[in-house]
Amino acid sequence: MTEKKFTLLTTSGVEGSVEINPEDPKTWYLAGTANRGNRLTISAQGPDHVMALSGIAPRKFHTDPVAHMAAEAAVSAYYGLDGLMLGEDVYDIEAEALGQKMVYGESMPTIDFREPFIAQKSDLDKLKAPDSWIDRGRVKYMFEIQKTLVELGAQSAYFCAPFSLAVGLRSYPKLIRDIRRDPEFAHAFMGCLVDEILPSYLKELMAYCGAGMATGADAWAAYPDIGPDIMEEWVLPYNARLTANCQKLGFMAMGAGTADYCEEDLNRYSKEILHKCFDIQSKNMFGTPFVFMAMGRWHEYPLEDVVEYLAEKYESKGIRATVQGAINARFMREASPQEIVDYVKRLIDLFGRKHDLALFIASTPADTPSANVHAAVAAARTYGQLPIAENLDEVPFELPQRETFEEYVNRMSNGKGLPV
Amino acid sequence: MSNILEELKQAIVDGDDEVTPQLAEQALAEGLAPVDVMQSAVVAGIEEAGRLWSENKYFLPDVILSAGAFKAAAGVIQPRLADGAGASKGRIVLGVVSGDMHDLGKTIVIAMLAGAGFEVIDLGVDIPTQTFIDKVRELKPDILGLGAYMTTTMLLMKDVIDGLKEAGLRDQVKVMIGGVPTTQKFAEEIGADAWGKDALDSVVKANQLVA
Repeated sequence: MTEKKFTLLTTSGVEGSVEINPEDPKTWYLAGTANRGNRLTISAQGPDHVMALSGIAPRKFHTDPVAHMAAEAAVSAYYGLDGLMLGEDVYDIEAEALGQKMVYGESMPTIDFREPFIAQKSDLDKLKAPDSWIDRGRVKYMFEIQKTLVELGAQSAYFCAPFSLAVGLRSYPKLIRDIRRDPEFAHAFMGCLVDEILPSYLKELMAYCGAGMATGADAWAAYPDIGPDIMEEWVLPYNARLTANCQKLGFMAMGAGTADYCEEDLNRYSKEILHKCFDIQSKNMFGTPFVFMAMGRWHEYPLEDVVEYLAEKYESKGIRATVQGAINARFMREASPQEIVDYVKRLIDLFGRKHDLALFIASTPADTPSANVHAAVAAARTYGQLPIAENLDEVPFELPQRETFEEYVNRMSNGKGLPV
Repeated sequence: MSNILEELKQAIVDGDDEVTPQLAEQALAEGLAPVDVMQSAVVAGIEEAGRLWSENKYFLPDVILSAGAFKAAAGVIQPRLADGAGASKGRIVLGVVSGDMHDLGKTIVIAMLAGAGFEVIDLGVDIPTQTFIDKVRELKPDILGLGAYMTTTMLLMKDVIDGLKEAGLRDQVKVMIGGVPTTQKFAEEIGADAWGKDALDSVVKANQLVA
């Protein structure tokens, strides 16, 4: 075995050393983080892609934490990502544990929105935090995954943020009706989630996995699923209330992905709404200078509007913001490697010098060509060397030629394949 | 336009599905022709909601409520339309592919297509590939609409199209796909006839497919 030092760039430079074990892909991932130097990070999200690439059957992939993490680690190592290629679908676990009906098929398990757990308003009486969560639904599976993530350097656990959990338990149309027609009920429902349900779940999760904080995924609180008015009245206050409740329990928990701007129709693109979403994102993070780009069509939006926002809001006050620069899922699947490289280079050129840019491949589709992910990572490594070069056109770059995932696994495992 | 039709139209724009069936009943009780109530109030209301959406004055919650109000009113009126009075532009059978339970987009698409004059038969969500093929054979739609909202389930759309070919049905029906992870390029890859970017675009594409 070869011992390698590693530095986890996405977790504030956690350092250690690891021996590469052919039977443990987690060690491939850790060893792969060695000697990467001082540069911008690139991470990715994409359970569908990990499952497809690893060839693990859906049921096993989404219920067996050992198989799941082996696949995540192997795929992350293959691409040379700076964080594990997250991950499990975070939107279903708590709801399923509370009794929400799910559908298990040939894909990720999904909530059966035909039969919401809170079908009638009187069902709110059923919404109670269990004495113990661990044996409910896939909670143990999720806790084990998060424990492993922490062992591999993650600082934050993750959970389903209040608004998205409310959608999971009530369904989107019903929740929207509640908000518009019966706000008293909707407030009681949201209050129960942030005062009782999520603090109880998170307390158990934090104790199990050992993370220092927890961040809540909140895809249902994206624009245009909801507009800024609902974000202000129904998302921010409850996220803040959850944070306060968890602080009393001795840990930090906060919604993180709220107000992601995801307009699909470029004819409806609005700079004004985009900037409102950025304002809400920062409010949601208690004023942290933070701009979050994730699932939207950022390769098509006018990024100059983001530059303008950052200049006015932060640069004018001498503040460096944290900017998550996203590579859109469909763009990752359908663009050429060179187009992806050009886009990553543009993100770095626009945001990499004046702000703390973290690159992020959003929800990588199942059948994304691996060459595209390799291209994105190579561009991040080449153009993202700190300090960022004044003229990126002068930085030499070559598209990487890489072995297939199967060849990689065979090489790393001495021909034994993934240990799943 | 009479007051009751104005009220009904506005209730659909406002997304009030508790009021719209009552107003629809009231309009019919006043002796207004069902086809006039449908066109002047119900369809006009959902079209107005679509216009507000396209102008960024409505967000998704507004549209989903309008779609619900439309459905509630249409449910009162459609059974009373005289034969031929509600002649449709074409029949569309529509559903979300197997393993996928996300029906938010479908709800809006159905309302918009129905509002545009199509007969829409909703198969629901989590529909097995064979069911789509059987329903095309049984119902003989002009268009088969397939929705998917996950990058894994969208791959099943190709299975449906391949199944239609194997069953000798492919040239009898146009296939339109939609859903967040889909694109025009994907539609072309799998051999679909059209891609509906969103609900309004689906209406445009459906009109083109039956022209």
